[in-house]
Amino acid sequence: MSGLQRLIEDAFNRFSSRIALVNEANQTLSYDGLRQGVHALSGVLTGFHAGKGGPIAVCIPKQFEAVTSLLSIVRTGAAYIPLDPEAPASRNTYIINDARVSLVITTAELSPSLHPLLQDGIIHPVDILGSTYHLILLDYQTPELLDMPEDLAYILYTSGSTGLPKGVMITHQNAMCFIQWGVRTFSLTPEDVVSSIAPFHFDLSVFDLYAGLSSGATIVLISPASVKNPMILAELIDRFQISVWYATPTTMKMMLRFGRMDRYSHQSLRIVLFAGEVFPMTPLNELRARWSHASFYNLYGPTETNVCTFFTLPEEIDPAQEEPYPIGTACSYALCFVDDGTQISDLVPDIEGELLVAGESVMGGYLNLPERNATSLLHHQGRLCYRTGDIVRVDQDLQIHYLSRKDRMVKRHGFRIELGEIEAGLHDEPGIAEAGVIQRMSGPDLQESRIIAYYTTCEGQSGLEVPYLQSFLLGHIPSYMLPDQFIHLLEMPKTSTQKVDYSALKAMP
Amino acid sequence: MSEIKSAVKTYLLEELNLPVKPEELTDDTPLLSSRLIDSISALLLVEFLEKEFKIEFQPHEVNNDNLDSLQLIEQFVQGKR
Repeated sequence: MSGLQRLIEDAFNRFSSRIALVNEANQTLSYDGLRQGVHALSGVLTGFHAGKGGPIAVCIPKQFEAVTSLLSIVRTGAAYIPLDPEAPASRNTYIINDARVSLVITTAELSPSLHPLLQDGIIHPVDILGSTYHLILLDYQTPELLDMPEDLAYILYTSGSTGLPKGVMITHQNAMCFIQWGVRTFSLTPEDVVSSIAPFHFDLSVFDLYAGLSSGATIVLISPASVKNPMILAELIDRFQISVWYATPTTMKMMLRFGRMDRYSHQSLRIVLFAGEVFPMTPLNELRARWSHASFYNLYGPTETNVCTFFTLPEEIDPAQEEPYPIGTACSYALCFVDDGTQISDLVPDIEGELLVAGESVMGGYLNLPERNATSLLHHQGRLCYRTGDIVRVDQDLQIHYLSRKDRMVKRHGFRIELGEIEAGLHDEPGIAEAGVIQRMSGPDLQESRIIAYYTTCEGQSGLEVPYLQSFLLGHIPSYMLPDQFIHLLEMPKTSTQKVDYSALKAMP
Repeated sequence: MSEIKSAVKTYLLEELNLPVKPEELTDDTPLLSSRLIDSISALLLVEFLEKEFKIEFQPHEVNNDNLDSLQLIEQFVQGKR
């Protein structure tokens, strides 16, 4: 049995009568109930998928059926691809075709929107323990032509710089080293109640689902609509006595602003994990003051390596600390190196450059993208390394500090400018809601660099005067970093992960 | 237009700066489902309604059923009063 298969069967055997899943409607599913669904559905899948190989896609809203489907696919030995049920059908169709998916599990509600785009597909409705699944069979697909690792567990599609999503292939070994590390590091037990905030097509969900199941914990499935409603999130922690909370800093900042946190003590919280972006100190300290009984951890890692470094926040809040906390040190299964532009070195004090990650969690490559694999993956000291594209600095205690994205560091008039630093300066103006700063090359031969700051204002305020913005920013950044142009937007373009969409900004006139 | 709808309309146009002409914002114009209002603006709107009309939203009441048009907002506020 491969890693995740054993993990699931062990959990079914050990925790049979405990509650595995609970949803916002207070419905529960025990480990035994989950096992019955998984065993039945995987039997059906094996019948349809026999001899086909290749991955199976799942397009189901965040409900028990989605978990049952993912685990059933694991049980059959196939790899799965979680699709975003809220994404345009054309994007999902692109993924299904890119990965030569020959079987899609979806719902009766979603199959009409997905199905017409998949020519020649045949729908088989299947009833399992009161749930209806629609299996779409695509016999024209040719998965045998794919170049996939032997022990592929799942493929997560992330947005690519070309505008087309790219499939990150994660093996059982990749997933297991992180899951086991997570269970150990955070001492998860069957008494824990783990939040499942991230949708299943995001890598953050791997922790919630598998670290949760392998420790016999109860997993609280939270819908995307509720993730956008901080009032509900704060209430869910209280209602289900959630003990492990894993969310992005953006989600937690929204909870502070709109969550009516004064109503709850949230005493059940034991572990608070954040990842995906920098957590600025002011809201982080505010949250820690509220949740002073919980331990906080900063987790770092691109989808391609899963979580690979972590930092345990000190117990005491230090009001003098202004710089965001480091991303910490490598997890037990990972090795970090830094490419400073001249050579690749081990972590030594004061080194600065692009972070490279090696070790068991490094992906099996991007699907169907050999050129991309050649630029993102390299061998160093006999190990496969992933180029993160993140610029870091190592301090005297060998802690790694995130500085910026490599492509967000620009040079102008010989000065190195971190565009994110300009954004951070803009964020300090209370009237500014969001900021996105880009560099645009113009003039003959595209030699002329202009820095353009896009911003939105709070509560529908109108744009701010340019002289004011300039003088305000000069309180935060040196004059050589001042943007050449400020543009007020009504809405900031966002990627599917709710981050500022820089390619959309660059495409603006 | 009723007092509630007119106050909400003013808030949407002047405070939230919805990109829509006043005459185009009718009682039935979809607000959330059309993405005219994003999730943050929806939360600001809830704060406004609570303060302005001295009502209180339960967390699960912040949804399209209650907030998707001036008409629905008015019904919700009246029901709460």
